[in-house]
Amino acid sequence: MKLFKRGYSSLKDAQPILSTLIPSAIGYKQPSINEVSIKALMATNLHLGHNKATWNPRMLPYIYGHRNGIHIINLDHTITALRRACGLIFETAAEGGNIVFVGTKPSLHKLTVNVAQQNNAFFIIHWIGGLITNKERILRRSVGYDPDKVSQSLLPQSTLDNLEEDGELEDVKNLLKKQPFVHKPDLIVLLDYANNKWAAHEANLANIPVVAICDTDCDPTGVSYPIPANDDSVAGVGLIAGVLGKACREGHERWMQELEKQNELKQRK
Amino acid sequence: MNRIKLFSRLRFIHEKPIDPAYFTGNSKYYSLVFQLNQHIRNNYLDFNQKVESKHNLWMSQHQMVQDLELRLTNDDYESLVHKLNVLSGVKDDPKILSFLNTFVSSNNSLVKPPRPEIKLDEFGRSLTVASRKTSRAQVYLVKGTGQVYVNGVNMAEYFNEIYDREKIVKPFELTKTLADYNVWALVKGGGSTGQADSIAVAIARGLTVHEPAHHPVLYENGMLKIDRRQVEKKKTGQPKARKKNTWVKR
Repeated sequence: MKLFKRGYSSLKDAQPILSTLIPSAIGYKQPSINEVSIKALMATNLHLGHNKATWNPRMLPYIYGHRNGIHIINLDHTITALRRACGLIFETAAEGGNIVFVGTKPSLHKLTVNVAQQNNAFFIIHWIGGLITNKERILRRSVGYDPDKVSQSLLPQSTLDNLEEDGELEDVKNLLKKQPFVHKPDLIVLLDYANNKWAAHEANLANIPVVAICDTDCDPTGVSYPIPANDDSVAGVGLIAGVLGKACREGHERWMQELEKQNELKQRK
Repeated sequence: MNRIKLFSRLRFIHEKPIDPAYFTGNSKYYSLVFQLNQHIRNNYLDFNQKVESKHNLWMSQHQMVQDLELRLTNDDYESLVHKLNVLSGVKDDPKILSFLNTFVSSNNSLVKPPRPEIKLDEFGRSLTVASRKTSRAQVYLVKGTGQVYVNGVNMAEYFNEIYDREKIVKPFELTKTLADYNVWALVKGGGSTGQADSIAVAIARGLTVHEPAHHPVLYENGMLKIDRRQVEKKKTGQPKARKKNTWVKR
Protein backbone atom coordinates (compact mmCIF):
# COMPACT_ATOMS: atom_id res chain seq x y z
CA MET A 1 0.00 0.00 0.00
CA LYS A 2 1.21 3.49 -0.83
CA LEU A 3 2.37 4.95 2.45
CA PHE A 4 2.92 8.61 1.69
CA LYS A 5 0.08 10.41 -0.07
CA ARG A 6 2.25 13.16 -1.50
CA GLY A 7 4.91 10.84 -2.83
CA TYR A 8 7.88 11.55 -0.56
CA SER A 9 10.33 8.80 -1.38
CA SER A 10 12.80 9.58 1.38
CA LEU A 11 13.35 11.87 4.35
CA LYS A 12 16.27 13.69 2.75
CA ASP A 13 14.12 16.76 2.13
CA ALA A 14 13.36 16.96 5.81
CA GLN A 15 17.01 17.16 6.94
CA PRO A 16 17.56 20.94 6.84
CA ILE A 17 14.50 21.56 9.03
CA LEU A 18 15.76 19.29 11.77
CA SER A 19 18.69 21.55 12.54
CA THR A 20 16.64 24.46 13.83
CA LEU A 21 13.46 23.00 15.25
CA ILE A 22 14.71 20.75 18.06
CA PRO A 23 15.50 22.40 21.40
CA SER A 24 18.84 20.67 21.81
CA ALA A 25 20.10 21.74 18.37
CA ILE A 26 22.57 24.52 17.72
CA GLY A 27 20.85 27.61 16.34
CA TYR A 28 17.51 26.55 17.83
CA LYS A 29 14.71 28.92 16.99
CA GLN A 30 11.41 28.27 18.74
CA PRO A 31 8.86 27.60 15.99
CA SER A 32 5.38 29.05 15.95
CA ILE A 33 2.50 26.89 14.75
CA ASN A 34 2.55 28.61 11.34
CA GLU A 35 6.13 27.48 10.72
CA VAL A 36 5.49 23.81 11.43
CA SER A 37 4.63 21.55 8.52
CA ILE A 38 3.99 17.85 8.22
CA LYS A 39 7.53 17.60 6.87
CA ALA A 40 8.92 18.77 10.19
CA LEU A 41 6.70 16.38 12.12
CA MET A 42 7.96 13.48 10.02
CA ALA A 43 11.56 14.55 10.43
CA THR A 44 11.26 14.08 14.18
CA ASN A 45 9.55 10.70 13.80
CA LEU A 46 6.22 11.80 15.22
CA HIS A 47 4.34 9.56 12.84
CA LEU A 48 5.71 6.31 14.26
CA GLY A 49 3.26 4.58 16.55
CA HIS A 50 3.66 1.47 18.65
CA ASN A 51 3.39 -2.21 17.87
CA LYS A 52 0.26 -3.26 16.02
CA ALA A 53 -0.66 -5.71 18.76
CA THR A 54 -0.47 -3.17 21.60
CA TRP A 55 -2.77 -0.60 20.05
CA ASN A 56 -5.81 1.00 21.65
CA PRO A 57 -8.76 0.68 19.26
CA ARG A 58 -9.96 4.15 20.28
CA MET A 59 -7.02 5.59 18.33
CA LEU A 60 -8.41 4.19 15.10
CA PRO A 61 -9.49 7.57 13.66
CA TYR A 62 -5.93 8.87 14.01
CA ILE A 63 -4.11 5.92 12.48
CA TYR A 64 -3.08 6.00 8.83
CA GLY A 65 -2.04 2.37 8.48
CA HIS A 66 0.77 0.07 9.45
CA ARG A 67 4.25 -0.73 8.24
CA ASN A 68 6.85 -3.15 9.57
CA GLY A 69 4.51 -4.21 12.36
CA ILE A 70 3.98 -0.70 13.80
CA HIS A 71 1.07 1.64 13.31
CA ILE A 72 1.64 4.91 11.47
CA ILE A 73 -0.15 7.97 12.79
CA ASN A 74 -1.95 10.26 10.35
CA LEU A 75 -0.07 13.53 10.52
CA ASP A 76 -2.98 15.51 9.10
CA HIS A 77 -4.78 14.84 12.34
CA THR A 78 -1.68 15.66 14.30
CA ILE A 79 -1.24 19.04 12.70
CA THR A 80 -4.91 19.98 13.15
CA ALA A 81 -4.83 18.88 16.77
CA LEU A 82 -1.66 20.90 17.29
CA ARG A 83 -3.29 23.99 15.81
CA ARG A 84 -6.34 23.53 18.00
CA ALA A 85 -4.17 23.12 21.08
CA CYS A 86 -2.12 26.20 20.21
CA GLY A 87 -5.25 28.30 19.86
CA LEU A 88 -6.54 27.02 23.18
CA ILE A 89 -3.27 27.72 24.97
CA PHE A 90 -3.07 31.20 23.46
CA GLU A 91 -6.57 32.07 24.61
CA THR A 92 -6.05 30.64 28.09
CA ALA A 93 -2.78 32.50 28.57
CA ALA A 94 -4.34 35.73 27.23
CA GLU A 95 -6.91 35.50 30.05
CA GLY A 96 -4.13 35.14 32.61
CA GLY A 97 -4.48 31.40 32.96
CA ASN A 98 -1.90 29.08 34.54
CA ILE A 99 -0.53 26.59 32.04
CA VAL A 100 1.38 23.61 33.39
CA PHE A 101 3.67 21.38 31.37
CA VAL A 102 3.96 17.87 32.77
CA GLY A 103 6.82 15.58 31.68
CA THR A 104 7.70 12.78 34.08
CA LYS A 105 9.99 10.64 31.93
CA PRO A 106 13.66 11.31 32.86
CA SER A 107 14.52 12.07 29.24
CA LEU A 108 11.88 14.81 29.21
CA HIS A 109 12.81 16.53 32.47
CA LYS A 110 15.16 19.11 31.00
CA LEU A 111 12.78 19.79 28.14
CA THR A 112 9.75 20.52 30.32
CA VAL A 113 11.71 22.73 32.70
CA ASN A 114 13.15 24.79 29.85
CA VAL A 115 9.80 25.14 28.10
CA ALA A 116 8.16 26.33 31.29
CA GLN A 117 10.91 28.73 32.32
CA GLN A 118 11.19 30.38 28.91
CA ASN A 119 7.48 30.76 28.16
CA ASN A 120 5.93 32.02 31.44
CA ALA A 121 4.42 28.64 32.23
CA PHE A 122 4.83 26.08 35.02
CA PHE A 123 6.45 22.67 35.05
CA ILE A 124 5.83 19.44 36.92
CA ILE A 125 8.48 16.75 36.80
CA HIS A 126 7.00 14.34 39.35
CA TRP A 127 3.24 14.10 39.56
CA ILE A 128 2.17 13.82 43.18
CA GLY A 129 -1.33 12.41 43.59
CA GLY A 130 -3.67 15.04 45.01
CA LEU A 131 -1.92 17.99 43.42
CA ILE A 132 -5.26 19.44 42.41
CA THR A 133 -7.81 17.76 44.63
CA ASN A 134 -5.66 18.07 47.78
CA LYS A 135 -3.78 21.21 46.81
CA GLU A 136 -3.78 22.82 50.26
CA ARG A 137 -1.55 20.06 51.57
CA ILE A 138 0.58 19.22 48.55
CA LEU A 139 1.39 22.82 47.71
CA ARG A 140 1.94 23.92 51.31
CA ARG A 141 5.60 24.67 50.66
CA SER A 142 4.78 26.89 47.69
CA VAL A 143 2.31 28.86 49.77
CA GLY A 144 4.13 28.86 53.12
CA TYR A 145 1.14 27.62 55.14
CA ASP A 146 0.92 24.06 56.50
CA PRO A 147 -2.74 23.40 57.34
CA ASP A 148 -1.96 20.36 59.48
CA LYS A 149 0.63 22.09 61.66
CA VAL A 150 -1.42 25.19 62.23
CA SER A 151 -4.56 23.33 63.23
CA GLN A 152 -2.53 21.24 65.65
CA SER A 153 -0.83 24.16 67.33
CA LEU A 154 -3.43 24.79 69.98
CA LEU A 155 -2.64 27.71 72.19
CA PRO A 156 -2.55 27.02 75.96
CA GLN A 157 -5.36 28.48 78.05
CA SER A 158 -3.15 31.07 79.76
CA THR A 159 -2.24 32.78 76.48
CA LEU A 160 -5.85 32.63 75.33
CA ASP A 161 -6.91 34.42 78.53
CA ASN A 162 -4.25 37.08 78.01
CA LEU A 163 -5.37 37.62 74.45
CA GLU A 164 -8.98 37.96 75.51
CA GLU A 165 -8.01 40.77 77.85
CA ASP A 166 -6.15 42.59 75.07
CA GLY A 167 -9.00 42.04 72.62
CA GLU A 168 -6.80 40.15 70.17
CA LEU A 169 -8.36 36.73 70.61
CA GLU A 170 -10.55 36.93 67.54
CA ASP A 171 -7.70 38.09 65.33
CA VAL A 172 -5.51 35.16 66.36
CA LYS A 173 -8.32 32.68 65.88
CA ASN A 174 -8.94 34.04 62.41
CA LEU A 175 -5.23 33.79 61.63
CA LEU A 176 -5.26 30.15 62.61
CA LYS A 177 -8.19 29.43 60.31
CA LYS A 178 -6.98 31.52 57.40
CA GLN A 179 -5.72 29.35 54.56
CA PRO A 180 -4.10 31.50 51.89
CA PHE A 181 -5.33 31.08 48.35
CA VAL A 182 -3.78 28.10 46.54
CA HIS A 183 -3.77 28.40 42.76
CA LYS A 184 -5.01 25.71 40.43
CA PRO A 185 -3.69 25.04 36.96
CA ASP A 186 -6.03 26.32 34.27
CA LEU A 187 -4.66 24.01 31.61
CA ILE A 188 -2.43 20.96 31.77
CA VAL A 189 -0.18 19.85 28.93
CA LEU A 190 0.84 16.22 29.33
CA LEU A 191 3.98 15.44 27.37
CA ASP A 192 3.97 11.93 28.79
CA TYR A 193 0.32 10.82 28.93
CA ALA A 194 1.10 7.10 28.85
CA ASN A 195 2.73 7.31 32.29
CA ASN A 196 0.40 9.95 33.76
CA LYS A 197 -3.15 8.67 33.43
CA TRP A 198 -3.83 9.67 37.04
CA ALA A 199 -2.92 13.23 36.22
CA ALA A 200 -5.52 13.33 33.46
CA HIS A 201 -8.06 11.69 35.78
CA GLU A 202 -7.48 14.27 38.50
CA ALA A 203 -7.72 17.12 36.02
CA ASN A 204 -11.03 15.76 34.77
CA LEU A 205 -12.34 15.63 38.34
CA ALA A 206 -11.44 19.29 38.77
CA ASN A 207 -12.82 20.32 35.35
CA ILE A 208 -9.42 21.37 34.05
CA PRO A 209 -8.85 20.88 30.30
CA VAL A 210 -5.96 18.61 29.36
CA VAL A 211 -3.83 18.65 26.22
CA ALA A 212 -1.93 15.39 25.84
CA ILE A 213 0.31 13.67 23.35
CA CYS A 214 -1.44 10.36 22.66
CA ASP A 215 0.39 7.46 21.12
CA THR A 216 -1.33 4.50 19.45
CA ASP A 217 -1.49 2.60 22.75
CA CYS A 218 -3.19 5.44 24.67
CA ASP A 219 -6.88 6.12 25.25
CA PRO A 220 -7.66 9.55 23.77
CA THR A 221 -11.09 9.75 25.38
CA GLY A 222 -9.54 10.41 28.80
CA VAL A 223 -8.19 13.72 27.57
CA SER A 224 -9.92 16.87 26.35
CA TYR A 225 -7.55 17.71 23.52
CA PRO A 226 -5.50 14.73 22.36
CA ILE A 227 -2.61 15.26 19.96
CA PRO A 228 -1.98 11.96 18.22
CA ALA A 229 1.81 11.65 17.93
CA ASN A 230 4.76 9.53 18.92
CA ASP A 231 5.61 10.08 22.60
CA ASP A 232 8.88 8.14 22.52
CA SER A 233 10.90 10.47 20.34
CA VAL A 234 12.47 13.20 22.47
CA ALA A 235 13.05 15.44 19.46
CA GLY A 236 9.40 15.11 18.47
CA VAL A 237 8.14 15.93 21.94
CA GLY A 238 10.58 18.85 21.97
CA LEU A 239 9.11 20.17 18.77
CA ILE A 240 5.54 19.95 20.06
CA ALA A 241 6.49 21.46 23.41
CA GLY A 242 8.28 24.31 21.62
CA VAL A 243 5.24 25.10 19.52
CA LEU A 244 2.85 25.01 22.49
CA GLY A 245 5.27 27.06 24.54
CA LYS A 246 5.44 29.72 21.87
CA ALA A 247 1.65 29.96 21.88
CA CYS A 248 1.76 30.26 25.66
CA ARG A 249 4.28 33.09 25.52
CA GLU A 250 2.33 35.02 22.91
CA GLY A 251 -0.81 34.68 25.01
CA HIS A 252 1.06 35.91 28.06
CA GLU A 253 2.26 38.96 26.14
CA ARG A 254 -1.33 39.72 25.13
CA TRP A 255 -2.32 39.40 28.81
CA MET A 256 0.39 41.87 29.86
CA GLN A 257 -0.78 44.35 27.19
CA GLU A 258 -4.34 44.17 28.50
CA LEU A 259 -3.16 44.70 32.07
CA GLU A 260 -1.24 47.78 31.00
CA LYS A 261 -4.31 49.16 29.25
CA GLN A 262 -6.37 48.60 32.39
CA ASN A 263 -3.74 50.35 34.49
CA GLU A 264 -3.72 53.31 32.10
CA LEU A 265 -7.48 53.59 32.31
CA LYS A 266 -7.32 53.52 36.12
CA GLN A 267 -4.65 56.22 36.19
CA ARG A 268 -6.66 58.48 33.90
CA LYS A 269 -9.65 58.15 36.26
CA MET B 1 -13.85 42.70 20.67
CA ASN B 2 -16.11 40.58 22.84
CA ARG B 3 -13.85 38.18 24.63
CA ILE B 4 -15.55 35.33 26.48
CA LYS B 5 -14.50 35.62 30.11
CA LEU B 6 -13.44 32.10 30.93
CA PHE B 7 -12.57 32.58 34.58
CA SER B 8 -14.29 34.05 37.59
CA ARG B 9 -13.35 37.43 39.01
CA LEU B 10 -12.31 35.88 42.33
CA ARG B 11 -9.10 34.56 40.83
CA PHE B 12 -7.74 37.98 40.07
CA ILE B 13 -7.85 39.16 43.64
CA HIS B 14 -4.89 36.87 44.17
CA GLU B 15 -1.93 37.55 41.94
CA LYS B 16 -0.82 34.94 39.48
CA PRO B 17 2.16 32.98 40.81
CA ILE B 18 5.54 33.83 39.30
CA ASP B 19 7.69 30.83 40.20
CA PRO B 20 7.62 28.21 37.40
CA ALA B 21 7.96 25.51 40.07
CA TYR B 22 4.84 26.65 41.97
CA PHE B 23 2.79 23.58 41.09
CA THR B 24 5.55 21.15 42.03
CA GLY B 25 5.09 22.12 45.68
CA ASN B 26 8.86 21.81 46.05
CA SER B 27 10.34 24.88 44.40
CA LYS B 28 13.30 25.23 46.77
CA TYR B 29 14.45 21.71 45.96
CA TYR B 30 14.33 22.38 42.24
CA SER B 31 16.14 25.70 42.48
CA LEU B 32 18.90 24.06 44.57
CA VAL B 33 19.20 21.11 42.22
CA PHE B 34 19.36 23.33 39.15
CA GLN B 35 22.11 25.40 40.77
CA LEU B 36 23.98 22.22 41.65
CA ASN B 37 23.72 20.87 38.13
CA GLN B 38 24.87 24.20 36.72
CA HIS B 39 27.94 24.25 38.98
CA ILE B 40 28.83 20.69 38.02
CA ARG B 41 28.52 21.47 34.32
CA ASN B 42 30.49 24.70 34.61
CA ASN B 43 33.38 22.82 36.17
CA TYR B 44 33.26 20.03 33.56
CA LEU B 45 32.75 17.34 36.20
CA ASP B 46 31.33 13.92 35.40
CA PHE B 47 27.87 13.24 36.84
CA ASN B 48 28.46 9.50 36.80
CA GLN B 49 31.90 9.37 38.39
CA LYS B 50 32.40 7.16 41.42
CA VAL B 51 32.93 9.24 44.52
CA GLU B 52 33.76 8.25 48.07
CA SER B 53 30.98 9.02 50.48
CA LYS B 54 31.81 11.71 53.01
CA HIS B 55 30.87 10.24 56.34
CA ASN B 56 28.43 12.48 58.24
CA LEU B 57 29.42 15.62 56.35
CA TRP B 58 26.09 16.33 54.67
CA MET B 59 22.81 16.84 56.46
CA SER B 60 20.62 13.80 56.90
CA GLN B 61 17.43 13.47 54.89
CA HIS B 62 15.29 14.46 57.85
CA GLN B 63 17.44 17.52 58.54
CA MET B 64 17.23 18.70 54.96
CA VAL B 65 13.44 18.33 54.94
CA GLN B 66 13.12 20.39 58.11
CA ASP B 67 15.83 23.03 57.75
CA LEU B 68 15.79 23.61 53.99
CA GLU B 69 12.02 23.01 53.60
CA LEU B 70 12.35 20.43 50.86
CA ARG B 71 10.28 17.41 49.96
CA LEU B 72 12.70 14.52 49.47
CA THR B 73 12.14 10.90 48.55
CA ASN B 74 14.90 8.43 49.37
CA ASP B 75 16.05 8.40 45.75
CA ASP B 76 16.05 12.21 45.62
CA TYR B 77 18.21 12.36 48.73
CA GLU B 78 20.69 9.79 47.45
CA SER B 79 21.13 11.47 44.09
CA LEU B 80 21.48 14.86 45.80
CA VAL B 81 24.20 13.57 48.11
CA HIS B 82 25.98 11.95 45.18
CA LYS B 83 26.02 15.25 43.30
CA LEU B 84 27.28 17.07 46.39
CA ASN B 85 30.11 14.56 46.68
CA VAL B 86 30.93 15.12 43.01
CA LEU B 87 30.97 18.90 43.41
CA SER B 88 33.02 18.84 46.60
CA GLY B 89 35.96 17.78 44.43
CA VAL B 90 36.29 21.45 43.49
CA LYS B 91 38.16 23.19 46.28
CA ASP B 92 39.25 26.63 45.09
CA ASP B 93 36.02 28.39 44.29
CA PRO B 94 34.54 30.34 47.25
CA LYS B 95 31.10 30.55 45.56
CA ILE B 96 30.88 26.78 45.38
CA LEU B 97 32.08 26.40 48.99
CA SER B 98 29.42 28.80 50.24
CA PHE B 99 26.80 26.97 48.17
CA LEU B 100 27.87 23.59 49.53
CA ASN B 101 27.79 24.99 53.06
CA THR B 102 23.99 25.14 52.93
CA PHE B 103 23.99 21.32 52.93
CA VAL B 104 26.62 20.71 55.59
CA SER B 105 25.32 19.39 58.91
CA SER B 106 25.77 21.51 62.00
CA ASN B 107 28.49 19.37 63.55
CA ASN B 108 30.81 19.43 60.58
CA SER B 109 32.53 21.85 58.25
CA LEU B 110 33.60 21.49 54.65
CA VAL B 111 37.14 22.60 55.27
CA LYS B 112 38.60 20.62 58.08
CA PRO B 113 40.05 22.87 60.78
CA PRO B 114 43.78 22.20 61.10
CA ARG B 115 45.00 20.16 64.00
CA PRO B 116 46.21 22.46 66.77
CA GLU B 117 49.99 22.31 67.02
CA ILE B 118 51.36 21.26 70.34
CA LYS B 119 53.86 23.80 71.63
CA LEU B 120 56.19 24.11 74.57
CA ASP B 121 54.66 26.01 77.45
CA GLU B 122 56.23 28.81 79.50
CA PHE B 123 58.43 26.38 81.43
CA GLY B 124 59.74 24.70 78.30
CA ARG B 125 57.60 21.57 78.83
CA SER B 126 55.65 19.66 76.21
CA LEU B 127 52.41 17.95 77.23
CA THR B 128 51.56 14.93 75.06
CA VAL B 129 48.96 12.22 75.37
CA ALA B 130 48.81 8.56 74.33
CA SER B 131 46.97 5.36 75.19
CA ARG B 132 47.23 1.60 75.01
CA LYS B 133 44.42 -0.84 75.77
CA THR B 134 42.66 0.93 78.66
CA SER B 135 45.63 2.99 79.87
CA ARG B 136 45.74 6.72 79.32
CA ALA B 137 49.03 8.58 79.77
CA GLN B 138 49.84 12.28 79.96
CA VAL B 139 53.55 13.04 79.74
CA TYR B 140 55.43 16.26 80.46
CA LEU B 141 58.82 16.33 78.72
CA VAL B 142 61.33 19.01 79.64
CA LYS B 143 65.05 19.46 79.08
CA GLY B 144 66.89 17.94 82.02
CA THR B 145 69.15 15.20 83.23
CA GLY B 146 67.33 12.01 82.26
CA GLN B 147 65.04 11.33 85.22
CA VAL B 148 61.76 9.54 84.66
CA TYR B 149 58.91 9.77 87.18
CA VAL B 150 55.62 7.91 86.74
CA ASN B 151 52.66 8.90 88.95
CA GLY B 152 55.06 10.60 91.35
CA VAL B 153 57.28 7.55 91.71
CA ASN B 154 60.59 6.71 90.06
CA MET B 155 60.24 4.52 86.98
CA ALA B 156 62.43 1.81 88.44
CA GLU B 157 60.10 1.44 91.43
CA TYR B 158 56.87 1.72 89.45
CA PHE B 159 57.68 -0.79 86.71
CA ASN B 160 59.07 -4.09 88.01
CA GLU B 161 59.52 -5.74 84.63
CA ILE B 162 62.52 -5.04 82.37
CA TYR B 163 60.28 -5.01 79.28
CA ASP B 164 58.28 -2.05 80.53
CA ARG B 165 61.37 -0.02 81.43
CA GLU B 166 63.05 -0.78 78.10
CA LYS B 167 59.93 0.29 76.23
CA ILE B 168 59.94 3.67 77.96
CA VAL B 169 63.64 4.24 77.27
CA LYS B 170 63.43 3.16 73.62
CA PRO B 171 62.44 6.56 72.17
CA PHE B 172 65.52 8.12 73.79
CA GLU B 173 67.74 5.31 72.49
CA LEU B 174 66.52 5.76 68.94
CA THR B 175 67.05 9.50 68.94
CA LYS B 176 70.23 9.33 71.01
CA THR B 177 68.89 11.71 73.65
CA LEU B 178 69.26 9.41 76.64
CA ALA B 179 70.16 11.92 79.37
CA ASP B 180 68.75 15.05 77.74
CA TYR B 181 65.17 15.11 78.97
CA ASN B 182 63.23 14.73 82.20
CA VAL B 183 59.92 12.88 82.08
CA TRP B 184 56.94 13.48 84.38
CA ALA B 185 54.26 10.93 83.45
CA LEU B 186 50.71 10.62 84.80
CA VAL B 187 49.04 7.37 83.81
CA LYS B 188 45.85 5.64 84.84
CA GLY B 189 43.93 2.58 83.79
CA GLY B 190 45.10 -0.79 82.53
CA GLY B 191 48.01 -2.92 83.62
CA SER B 192 51.77 -2.48 83.64
CA THR B 193 52.38 -3.25 79.96
CA GLY B 194 49.58 -1.04 78.77
CA GLN B 195 50.72 1.85 80.93
CA ALA B 196 54.34 1.46 79.82
CA ASP B 197 53.46 1.40 76.14
CA SER B 198 51.24 4.43 76.42
CA ILE B 199 53.97 6.37 78.19
CA ALA B 200 56.44 5.37 75.48
CA VAL B 201 54.29 6.72 72.66
CA ALA B 202 53.62 9.92 74.58
CA ILE B 203 57.35 10.39 75.11
CA ALA B 204 57.99 9.89 71.40
CA ARG B 205 55.37 12.52 70.55
CA GLY B 206 56.92 14.88 73.08
CA LEU B 207 60.33 14.42 71.45
CA THR B 208 58.91 15.47 68.06
CA VAL B 209 57.48 18.59 69.69
CA HIS B 210 60.86 19.53 71.12
CA GLU B 211 62.79 18.61 67.96
CA PRO B 212 60.80 17.99 64.76
CA ALA B 213 63.95 16.48 63.27
CA HIS B 214 63.40 13.37 65.42
CA HIS B 215 60.16 12.61 63.62
CA PRO B 216 61.47 10.34 60.77
CA VAL B 217 63.43 8.01 63.04
CA LEU B 218 60.60 7.56 65.49
CA TYR B 219 58.01 7.19 62.71
CA GLU B 220 59.96 4.46 60.94
CA ASN B 221 60.24 2.47 64.14
CA GLY B 222 56.56 2.82 64.84
CA MET B 223 57.06 4.71 68.06
CA LEU B 224 54.56 7.42 67.17
CA LYS B 225 51.68 5.09 66.44
CA ILE B 226 49.08 4.26 69.09
CA ASP B 227 48.33 0.53 69.18
CA ARG B 228 44.57 0.46 68.71
CA ARG B 229 44.05 -3.18 69.61
CA GLN B 230 41.58 -3.62 72.45
CA VAL B 231 40.32 -6.67 74.33
CA GLU B 232 37.81 -8.49 72.16
CA LYS B 233 34.28 -8.93 73.41
CA LYS B 234 33.22 -12.28 74.85
CA LYS B 235 30.34 -13.70 72.84
CA THR B 236 27.23 -15.39 74.17
CA GLY B 237 27.17 -19.19 73.84
CA GLN B 238 30.96 -19.33 73.93
CA PRO B 239 33.29 -19.45 76.93
CA LYS B 240 35.55 -16.67 75.55
CA ALA B 241 35.88 -14.29 72.59
CA ARG B 242 37.16 -16.93 70.20
CA LYS B 243 37.15 -20.20 72.15
CA LYS B 244 34.11 -22.29 71.32
CA ASN B 245 32.45 -25.05 73.29
CA THR B 246 33.59 -28.62 72.71
CA TRP B 247 32.34 -29.86 69.36
CA VAL B 248 29.88 -32.70 69.82
CA LYS B 249 29.10 -35.02 66.95
CA ARG B 250 25.48 -35.48 67.97
